[in-house]
Amino acid sequence: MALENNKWDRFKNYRRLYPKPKLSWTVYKAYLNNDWTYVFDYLLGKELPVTGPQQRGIDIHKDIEINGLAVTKNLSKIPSLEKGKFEEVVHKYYEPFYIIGKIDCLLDDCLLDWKTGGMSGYEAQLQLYMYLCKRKMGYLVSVNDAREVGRVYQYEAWEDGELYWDNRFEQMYLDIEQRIDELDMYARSGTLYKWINFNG
Amino acid sequence: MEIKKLLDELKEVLKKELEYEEALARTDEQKRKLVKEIEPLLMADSYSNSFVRLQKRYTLVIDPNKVPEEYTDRVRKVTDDGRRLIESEIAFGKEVEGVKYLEKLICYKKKNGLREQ
Repeated sequence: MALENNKWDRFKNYRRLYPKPKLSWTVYKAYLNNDWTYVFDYLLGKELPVTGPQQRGIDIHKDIEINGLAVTKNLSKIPSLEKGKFEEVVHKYYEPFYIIGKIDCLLDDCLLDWKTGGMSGYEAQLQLYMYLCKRKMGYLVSVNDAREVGRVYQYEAWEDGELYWDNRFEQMYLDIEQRIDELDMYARSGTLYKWINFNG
Repeated sequence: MEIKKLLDELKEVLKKELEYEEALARTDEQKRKLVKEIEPLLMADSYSNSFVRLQKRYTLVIDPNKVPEEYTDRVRKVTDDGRRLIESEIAFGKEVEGVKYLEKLICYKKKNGLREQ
């Protein structure tokens, strides 16, 4: 098989590295912040503690998936969710890696992302999801604990989104690959696995 | 004689400036008209594409004597936290006693998007 003897074979224990590195918005954000500790924690599947606001977000997302949004007058700000697919997982495959995205609500012509905290700084995330799902319109929707709709921000997809995200993720992949090679080199005795065990 | 020449030159420049100002006033009026037409069609609080961002702004008019005590301090002045909570309540479509708000659609242009075209 083509996948055998690829450079990720030695990371068979890590589901986010084998058979192909799995990249996502989470890892991209950490990469932008130059937070390599987080990038490798993510790729090696290390369990990270969940903060209070994160847990609140997870709870509200689950609640919406099961019960839908609460009926308020603000519901008219967003499209009808009758045909919506909640928590839809989408993939985009490239030769050496793949991108994964979890869409809060996917409709035929647009997608929606629930926000339980701040609303600013998430346009890029929405643009990435629009690119992954090939949708032309996206909504950031502020929701509270009672599943009510607050502010709604509507975005058109970038025209050059495909080129932009292809380049961004390819560059990130190359940087990760290079970093792993460097770590291997520094460890001298073999793999990243050994290096990480040695360094805790 | 030299000052006369320079003043004539200045006159020409000012004429040109006036033309631009008048043109700007005309485009401003056109923009306001278009934004007004778009406003009822816009369901969301903000719409953004490659060349424009349309944002609904809310100006709160708060009567501190009428708002519930939880939003004010002991001298009935609205606190920062109280104001934030009121804004949140209004955003989620609720009404707060003693609070009125004015809604306005503001148009921000994205220079990059316009220059590319």
